[in-house]
Amino acid sequence: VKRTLVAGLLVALVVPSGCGSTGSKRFTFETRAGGARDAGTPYTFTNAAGWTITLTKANVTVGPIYLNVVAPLRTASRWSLFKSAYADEAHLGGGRVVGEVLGQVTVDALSSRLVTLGARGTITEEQVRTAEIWLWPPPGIAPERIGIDAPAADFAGEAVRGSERVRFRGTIVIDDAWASDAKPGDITATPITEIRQVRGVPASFFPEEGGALEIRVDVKPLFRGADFSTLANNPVDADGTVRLVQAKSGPVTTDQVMRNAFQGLRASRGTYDVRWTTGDDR
Amino acid sequence: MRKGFGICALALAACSAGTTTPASSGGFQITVSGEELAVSGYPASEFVDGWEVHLEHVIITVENVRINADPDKDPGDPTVLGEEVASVKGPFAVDVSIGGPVVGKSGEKTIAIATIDRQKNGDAFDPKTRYAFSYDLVRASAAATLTNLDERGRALYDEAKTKGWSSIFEGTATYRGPAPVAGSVFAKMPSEVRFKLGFANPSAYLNCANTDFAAVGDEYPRGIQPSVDKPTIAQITMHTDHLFWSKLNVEGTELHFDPIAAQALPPPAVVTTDDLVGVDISAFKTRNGELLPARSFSADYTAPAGTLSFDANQTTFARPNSFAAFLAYTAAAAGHLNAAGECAIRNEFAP
Repeated sequence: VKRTLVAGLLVALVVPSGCGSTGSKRFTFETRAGGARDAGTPYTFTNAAGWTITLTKANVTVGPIYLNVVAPLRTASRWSLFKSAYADEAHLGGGRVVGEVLGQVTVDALSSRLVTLGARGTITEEQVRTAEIWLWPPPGIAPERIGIDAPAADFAGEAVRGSERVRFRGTIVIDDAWASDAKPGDITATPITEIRQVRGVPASFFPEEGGALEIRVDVKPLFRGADFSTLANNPVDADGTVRLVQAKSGPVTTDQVMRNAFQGLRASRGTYDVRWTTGDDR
Repeated sequence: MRKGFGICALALAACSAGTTTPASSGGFQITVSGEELAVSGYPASEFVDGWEVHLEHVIITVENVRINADPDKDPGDPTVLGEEVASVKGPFAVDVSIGGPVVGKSGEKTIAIATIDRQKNGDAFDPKTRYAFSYDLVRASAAATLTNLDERGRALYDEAKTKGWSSIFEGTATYRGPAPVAGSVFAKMPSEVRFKLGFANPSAYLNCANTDFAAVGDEYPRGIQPSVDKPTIAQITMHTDHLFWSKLNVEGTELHFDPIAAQALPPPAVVTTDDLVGVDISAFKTRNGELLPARSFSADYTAPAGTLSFDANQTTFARPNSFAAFLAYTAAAAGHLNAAGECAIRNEFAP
């Protein structure tokens, strides 16, 4: 469509320019991350497609993390997503980043136990409305590099529906398999850095010095719409475990379960629970 | 054309609803457009999968057109505005595939629904000032003024009222691509598909950017600004192509019709929203349960290998992977100002 092509400006590399400053108090804080409060090993739940899924492994690597004053998605912040289709970084605020945790942690999502990130965060004492969970490669690998082998999520388990039983394992690496096919500059092009971000995660709190940031990762949303009956062509291990596939080409391309897991990993609602805790509620 | 009905906010002398009379100099004329695409349709070259699409009816209901002071009150949050200085309540039912006599921003046929000549306190608008412009698209309502609906449009609108729809798309798609391989999934699809898609996706479009202004960097300033020597048109513009996008929360993707066509029975059957509720966007299938491969005949777009899927891009639906929910959400992003000015969107529904 001509209009959309005319509007096709470069997609931006979303990099907050640092925390905002309004003269409010600024302090450092600790960040803790873990699985959902009801998580355990094994972790069993039933999804919308009628599969009862038991996870025996679910690791998710998150970070860095940014805290934004903008309202959650589906309210005002779709503005910011639209704006991210433009090249000017000034749009990207879609609000203002007031806090950041420049660290990374691999969360065992089957454990509700919280682990503390090595890096302390910094924040300005201001109302936070959303969090941005970035699924960056490990330190030392440029965020814009497409070809990486570091997993963002790694999981295994078994799905049962009636007489159907599927043992599976899968690893999500946010690499070329998920990268846009469009040429840089095309309106449909989405930089890999943007694909490695989850923006607009609801997180309404006013940070106070002495408190800590708590992030819980619930992996159930990664399997909400998964239909394990679609894996007939997937490769199988010697022990019968079906390997989930992420691939744009080859004998098997990205399968339905893997695509759902990827969408769930990047969902702004449901997967990540971000809150501020104080000594009273830790 | 009926004139002077509808409800103006507070100052009757300041605004007029449902009128085609141009606003006074220094005032605003509110028009609605679906662009040429809604009126003349989409040639097959616009869709990557070979479909030519004609929209016969695209009906929306506009309500609460608002003008506020200070569109730049909070540069980080476009929903933060100054006080409301004028408004027109409506609601107005508009078929943007029919349009009206007012020439639009891109030369298309648009229809005027209201004029706002003065602020509600009686003061003239300041020609040196930008004002924030916002509006709502709401569910079909018995209270709505049927501005340009024809007989079929009225019937659709009655159905929309019954079903709580806030947008309706009815049309016909004709396959113009290469002949499908015999026996393939595509060979089993009808070459002509009628569709009637209604969505309960009311939304508010807040503090729109205005592409009539000169861009500052790559950003267009928000709001509208009166002129001292002529009325200024504020054109609510519906981008109907959003309905055919493959990814949410971005501005612009290639267009697909295969996922809708794949649910069609031979004509005269019509694909409806109900047919799409259970269709899985993470792995599209045909009505017969066969996986739907991705395909492209466009030199500008290479279809990925394997089964066609769409990208919810961080959005989740009450019913996981529902194509109907995807469409309702993407259609709710269609509202703009003056052709391509983007608005902050507040969905008043859960997809």
